[in-house]
Amino acid sequence: MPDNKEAGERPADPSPQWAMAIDLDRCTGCEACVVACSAENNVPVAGPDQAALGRAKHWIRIDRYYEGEFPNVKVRHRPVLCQHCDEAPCEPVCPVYATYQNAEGLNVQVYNRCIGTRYCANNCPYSVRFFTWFAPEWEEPLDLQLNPDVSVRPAGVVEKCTFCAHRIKRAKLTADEEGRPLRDGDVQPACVQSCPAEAMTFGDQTDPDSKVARAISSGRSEQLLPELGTKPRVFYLKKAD
Amino acid sequence: MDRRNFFKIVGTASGGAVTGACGKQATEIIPLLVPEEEIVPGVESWRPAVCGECGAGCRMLARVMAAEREIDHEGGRVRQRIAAVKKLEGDPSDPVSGGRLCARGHAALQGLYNPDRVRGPLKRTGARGEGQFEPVSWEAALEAVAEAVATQLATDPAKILFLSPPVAGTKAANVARFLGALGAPGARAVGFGDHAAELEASRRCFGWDGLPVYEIQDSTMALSIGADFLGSWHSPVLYSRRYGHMRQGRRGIRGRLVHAEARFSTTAWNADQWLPVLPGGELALALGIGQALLAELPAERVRDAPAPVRRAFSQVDLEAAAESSGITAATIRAAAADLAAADAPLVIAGASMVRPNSADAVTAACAINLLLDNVDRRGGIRPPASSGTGLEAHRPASAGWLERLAEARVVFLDRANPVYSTPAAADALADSEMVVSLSPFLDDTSTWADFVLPDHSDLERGGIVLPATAPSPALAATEPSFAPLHDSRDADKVLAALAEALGRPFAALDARTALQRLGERIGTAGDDGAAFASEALRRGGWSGAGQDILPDASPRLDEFASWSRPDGLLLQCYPSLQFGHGDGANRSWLQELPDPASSAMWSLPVELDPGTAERLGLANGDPVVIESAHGSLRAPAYINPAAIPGVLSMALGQGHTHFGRYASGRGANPMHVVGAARDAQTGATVTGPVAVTIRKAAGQGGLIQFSHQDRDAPPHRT
Amino acid sequence: MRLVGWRAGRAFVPATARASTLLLALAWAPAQQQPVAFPHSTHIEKAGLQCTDCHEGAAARDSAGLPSIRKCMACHQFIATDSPEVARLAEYWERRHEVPWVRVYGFAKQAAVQFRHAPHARAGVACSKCHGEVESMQTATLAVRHTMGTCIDCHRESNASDDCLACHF
Repeated sequence: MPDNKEAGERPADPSPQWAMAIDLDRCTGCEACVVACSAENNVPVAGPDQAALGRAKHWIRIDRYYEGEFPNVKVRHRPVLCQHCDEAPCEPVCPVYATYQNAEGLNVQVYNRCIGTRYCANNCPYSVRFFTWFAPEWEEPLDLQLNPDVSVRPAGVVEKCTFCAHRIKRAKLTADEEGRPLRDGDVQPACVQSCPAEAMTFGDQTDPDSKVARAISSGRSEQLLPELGTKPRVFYLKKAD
Repeated sequence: MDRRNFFKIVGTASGGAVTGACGKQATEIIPLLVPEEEIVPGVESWRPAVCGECGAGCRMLARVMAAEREIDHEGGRVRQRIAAVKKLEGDPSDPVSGGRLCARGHAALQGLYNPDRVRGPLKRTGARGEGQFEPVSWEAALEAVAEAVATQLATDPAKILFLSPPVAGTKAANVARFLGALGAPGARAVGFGDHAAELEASRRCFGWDGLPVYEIQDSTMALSIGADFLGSWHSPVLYSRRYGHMRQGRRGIRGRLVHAEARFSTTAWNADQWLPVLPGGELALALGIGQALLAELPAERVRDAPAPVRRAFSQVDLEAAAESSGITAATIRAAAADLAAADAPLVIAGASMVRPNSADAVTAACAINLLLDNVDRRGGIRPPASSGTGLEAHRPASAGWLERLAEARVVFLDRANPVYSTPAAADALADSEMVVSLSPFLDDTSTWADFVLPDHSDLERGGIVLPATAPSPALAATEPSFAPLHDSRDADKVLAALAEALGRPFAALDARTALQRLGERIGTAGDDGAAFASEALRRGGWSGAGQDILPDASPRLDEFASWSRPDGLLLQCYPSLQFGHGDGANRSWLQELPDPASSAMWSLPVELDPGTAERLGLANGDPVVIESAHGSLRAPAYINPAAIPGVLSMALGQGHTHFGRYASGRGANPMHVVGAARDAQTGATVTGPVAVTIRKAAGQGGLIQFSHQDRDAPPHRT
Repeated sequence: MRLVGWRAGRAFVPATARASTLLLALAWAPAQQQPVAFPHSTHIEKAGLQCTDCHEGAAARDSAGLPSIRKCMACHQFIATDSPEVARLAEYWERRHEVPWVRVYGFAKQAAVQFRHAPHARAGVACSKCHGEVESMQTATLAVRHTMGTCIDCHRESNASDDCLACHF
């Protein structure tokens, strides 16, 4: 329970602590994750007019930074998604508690509680929160593709990466149905599932045998903007060059 | 209903069930009887499917769930519950995709559910190319087409031309049977994405009929010349997987990647070192590296190399190669030294951007592997794996397609868009007697058709597709598992019906029959192939173990033609990871996918170097006009710090005259400026370079970027 | 920032629950007019059917599901064919239509609730807990208001998760 965690105690039956690792030495910046995410999470297409106003949404994106000058140019790139911070700057600024961290470390956005102040998006140093300016529309028959496991967000709320919370839920229900505990690899967010270079891993970081825990302790692990003290749950494995 | 209206209704309504309040209209629409094979709401199933977005032929699993749609039915509107595809994922048992998928693969779903699909047969009403059509019955359309074909058969069947995608499988086999029955010449591809240079190089270097397989995952030092294998090329998912393994999949070994390309592509920015070779200088660079290797390799290894290879490389003047490629002799020597010192060296040879000398360039680069003696070695280059079905033989080639189009009186188009790749093709179409399109979309070329007989979407079709390249013998095979969404018909059956009507019937080949034949030969004892076929169809394909090692031929390396680069400012265009050669442009996910280099959405820019931008007084997003002897285009400028000075680059994908609501009339097609040049040896469409002038234009550029400037700044310290 | 957000969030729940009682009033209705009068009591108490005979997914799937007309006609091709309501049913069947049943229970899209039947059934929650004594109803009537309060109360009593994310995603 969260109250126990606040008091610094581990509960008897600890919840999984979800985390993601992205190996920048494998990641090619191919953006398969970006489209996989849109397909999985009913992320609407803004269209050119709204996109020109800065209203395009990508719950995960590839940031790129050019360094140096021709011919010695380097591009550093990095998939950026909600970092699911332990000390998330988005949470305290929400006047209606529509965003909080749950017992498994997920930064949750409750759409039907959100009143759309956008303070959270403003306060997020990673720019991963998106406001829904208009009721999303899918031109017939594109609506047939919508994933029934994920709510379509109405106009007026903020949305962002959920670590595919619906897949976590599904995996738990399946494990429950089969009468077994969750296993490492049971939960694969759409981006992780899709990644052609197999750069992404997801799992319970408190399980020392999990792939993600091993990646985090690989010695190449770093976090984005650690100096802000946000304690992200997304770990990047440095490019080895 | 949005939130505001919701609250309004809540404020006034006091009764009525959920649907009564929220969707009164919906309740009045009577639902149709659900199909016998009931689709249970909320229950998912995964069905095998094949990706047709490029030639890689990735096997996929389609997540199918119930969905409801409204349709016209017997004069009224009804609700219909259908099996809808919600998501596509790679099939983990497929040796090509390995369970993964690229951006374009995911967007195949938007091909199936594209609002601009041709929903039934169409007959042209306006002028050719205008895009004015009216619906027509299948019977009337087939009759009219059959009549035109019959007339042509009576005069000259050689002037019937079938333009197809460069993909092998049952469909290509059926097209071949159809044309054979008519006595017409074989189908042609239109020179885009056909890997013609790589296929030709494979024949010349190794005597192989098919694309070489690169064992990137096991190499310790890979030099790629001209192949943007992480961005598009032969099989982006397969090679991205292999790249990931090369970097971090082996304990204590991290493979090194050096990439030579005239653009800072996805592969270039992932490389440890990028060699910015000048456009068309890939041949000189490959020859230079071969020459330098002769000095770097131990004498006995050079002695063991095939004589034609030694001869070809020993004749090269390294300084001249350096001059011509734009890469210094010292850099060339260093790259050669790296290859010579590596445990498992590999040269990946390709032509993502096709030059007039690409076949030569890829041949020379391939030949370096012969010098490195890595053919059929771990971490080296392997022969293509034959599927064993014989379907490879029907892969359409491009050679001579434009000349044949100019002569053709009856033209069939199947997902071939020559007017986009070669705008001059429109003139040839304008003079034809009959143009028939089987494409599911009204694209730049289909709008020139007299009749559109829409094929099913790739996800609705069945058949065998052979992957462009696979680590082991492999094929994707499906049977139709969804009811077609629209009044489309399987192109194989349409061709069979046409042939029947012409009195020249042929037996159409389906996936099951082809698999049974394969099963008879390689299946288990006692199986007549039927069990093999059923199992393959259940799994969505088949892959065998082991390799077919094809006989080595004596390399033919003495036929390098000379080509000189035009002077001045150059433009080249390239297939992009989001649009390929332009055929992904009508998927809104891909339109809104930020371009990897420029972060542009809905608006592909011309990339230029900071020096040229400064000279012209250009800022990011300013409109420019680019002109060549062939034509001109207007596009926003993107100043790319990694652009080679004096070389402009533009992705293929925008500038479609017709391609549905998301792509029509959006941006510019750079092929108008590049012109209709083709590689004389292979027929592949040259995508540059071409000499151009550039000037700043008035008005707004229209560049829409996802990442704002602050994200272009150096990263925060981490 | 679990400290502020979560503690306050917990305190906030019942208030929202009460507020949503109002919101979800729209989901409450008296006896619903259905296209074909379907007497639940006749089918369950007299004919001895189980809920899951028709609502097949109620125990093991996400959604309980409404039966296809095929299921109705499996019996009613032979049984009670002289009833005017069964004649109405047969009319739909003749035209190859499903019956456009009016849903009695369900969540408004705006509630962003992702409800799954199966885990509730596994936890031993009786159908009547959320749907009332449907077996004795002539016409299915909304007997239990599905407000957030209803859900939360039960979740807390049975020590189930009261995380927002348990239902809203």
